[in-house]
Amino acid sequence: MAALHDDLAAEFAATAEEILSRLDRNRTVTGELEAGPFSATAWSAVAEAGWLEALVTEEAGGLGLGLRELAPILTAVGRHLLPGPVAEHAVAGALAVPAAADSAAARLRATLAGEGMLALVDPAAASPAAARPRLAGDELSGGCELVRFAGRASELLVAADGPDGPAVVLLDAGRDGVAVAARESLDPTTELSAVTLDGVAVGADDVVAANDVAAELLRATHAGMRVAVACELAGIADHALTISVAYAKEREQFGRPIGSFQALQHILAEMARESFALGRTCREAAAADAGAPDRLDDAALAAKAYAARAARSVVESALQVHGGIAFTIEHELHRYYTHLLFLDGFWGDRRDLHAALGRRLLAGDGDVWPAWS
Amino acid sequence: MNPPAAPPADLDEFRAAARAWLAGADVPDPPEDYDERFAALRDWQRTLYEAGWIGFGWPEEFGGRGLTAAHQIVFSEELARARAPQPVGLIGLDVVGPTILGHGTDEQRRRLLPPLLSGEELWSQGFSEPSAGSDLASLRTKGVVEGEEIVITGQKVWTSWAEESDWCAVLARTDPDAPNHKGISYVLVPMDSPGIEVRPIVQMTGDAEFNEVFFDGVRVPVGNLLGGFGAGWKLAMDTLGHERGRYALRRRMENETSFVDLVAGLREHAAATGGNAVADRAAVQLGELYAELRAYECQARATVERIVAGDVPSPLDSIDKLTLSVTEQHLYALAVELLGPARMAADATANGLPAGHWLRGHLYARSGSVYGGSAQIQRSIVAERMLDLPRSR
Repeated sequence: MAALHDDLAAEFAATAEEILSRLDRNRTVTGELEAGPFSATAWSAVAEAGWLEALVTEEAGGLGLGLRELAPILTAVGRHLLPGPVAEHAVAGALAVPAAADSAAARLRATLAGEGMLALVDPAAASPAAARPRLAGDELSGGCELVRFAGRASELLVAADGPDGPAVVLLDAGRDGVAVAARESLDPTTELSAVTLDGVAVGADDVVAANDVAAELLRATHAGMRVAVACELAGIADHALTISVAYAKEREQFGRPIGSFQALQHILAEMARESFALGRTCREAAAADAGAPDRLDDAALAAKAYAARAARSVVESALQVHGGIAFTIEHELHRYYTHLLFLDGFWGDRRDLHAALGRRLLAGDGDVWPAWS
Repeated sequence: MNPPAAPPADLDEFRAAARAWLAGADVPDPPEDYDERFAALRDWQRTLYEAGWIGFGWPEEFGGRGLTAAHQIVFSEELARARAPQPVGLIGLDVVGPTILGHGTDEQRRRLLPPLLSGEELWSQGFSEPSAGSDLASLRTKGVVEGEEIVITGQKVWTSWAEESDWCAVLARTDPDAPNHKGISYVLVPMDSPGIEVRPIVQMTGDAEFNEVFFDGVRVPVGNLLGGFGAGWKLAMDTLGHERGRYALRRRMENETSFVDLVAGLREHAAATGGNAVADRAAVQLGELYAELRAYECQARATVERIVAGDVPSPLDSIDKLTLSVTEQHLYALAVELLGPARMAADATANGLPAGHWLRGHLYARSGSVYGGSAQIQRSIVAERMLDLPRSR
């Protein structure tokens, strides 16, 4: 089986670029994306490629791959700026499947196969301090900001607090008491909503996990989402570097390519350095030991924090290298920049992550520099 | 002396054996005084050599252990982790030695490499000159062939360890008519030759690690030429590339342990005083620095893979050098910031951090973006050789 997994992982990495490049040139896709930040055609293609089910364990009928195998796909998603809640499905949805009862598992798996869509309703995406919806008896109430693509979701995967500990609950989006309010998004690659739950009825089969099991699932989900977002940021940085180097070779001023000027060469070299370090950081964080939550948590926090800083630096330099053209709405770069500003705040704003890492270092007596894998 | 037992070839076993040996070794705590420190580090190299913990990647016939570069990297990491100093003869071990190994005659290798490994003979490297720094190829030190001798006249500067060294690897212009890069030869000069004068340069850290070296008609046999006439530039660039990767790996590991020590100091202070006055302010900066240092650790994994695969020199060496200097400067700058007004008081301790130690580290870190090819030179290398941008000149 191990050999089969290696083959699948290698195939994923190789085909992700190819599939996404084809989608970039697909007329239906580009038409849909002109109308808004989502392409049903592209989403179907992603589901069909099997990426969203990669992390589902073999026991639960999935491929049993890990973040390490998923990382190149998420990086390609960032590189091609593929809109849609890929990480919410491929990480949060896929990790929840093994814990869920048969009926809930089937509902989750349907979304991973492209039938319906899943939204992740977890306040930790926006803020580490935000309160979770509360599960009291068989009713769920509370709110959550910054839910991606909730307006399109058929199922909501909710991180809640029950009477004896956390709970993870799966709700169909049409249930009474569920309200999804669209927020205007300044990132043209994202749809954002606030989700409000007002006494929503929860059946026993809807509870994916409770108490210790839920705590463990949420911990893995948070770490996985952070690594996923870091990989998307790495893809964004890589693309910004690629188009900047190409532009610097082609654009001429004073009778020669602007890439021959040392002032720009040094900006581009620094972009290459940061992009390279970021790619390697994502690779190592994605390979962190999932069986040792402390290590994975640390890797995920540090990788997401570094990703936000490095990608931002690279893309801001890309804006500078391109000059005025990059500030036009016709040029693609502003979409990368606004999306990275969103991703910087998604699953841990950079400063919140720095503070969390710093507090752990100062407060604890644990290992200052834990091995990640 | 019988050669010590061969260390295990398996890397995990090798690491465990190195760790165990270091735990029981008499590891010197280098004195602050420069001369005392130098003597202690020279003894340390002898200890490492006699116990067989040096020259891992070198063939046994030249005093090495016949293992691989990966073993060298692992041992360097374990040295740093044990807070043990590096051996004193690093220029020989990292730069000149590999050049002799790669380009020397068998006679040169047999004569020069064993004492280089043991620390019995120390090496310096005479490259930079007063008007040839970043533009090294414009160097003017002359090497005139007279019969079976080369007569060297000129001045070198920033020559580390010249005063303590027994040999100097000198770049000299032996063909004034050839284009800049082609007329340079790599000459091995005994430092006790008549006509050499060394003047130490005191650095802002207080150490006098480097020197000016004056050569006034210094005669060495033609047999001291390495790699033939005109090969000097190629040899120098080749070994600078080798040096960058390994140096960056070793220094990164030292910075990791420095960061661990920094955090330990802050923690101890907090425990002793029931809180930490700088904790709130420091947490965010410390977390940011931690993420940056971990990213560099990840980058360094790629360096290890490259060195083991023999993919050196590479423009990625320049990427490593850049990241090393940036992260090192950030690390020490934060420590000095956390010291507050106590930073300039050599004996003070503030927030659990000894001022003199961290200030010296900070001053030294400022040189990281200058020595061994400045940050600007590295960026130009990345631009031209990795990004394939048009040449700026």
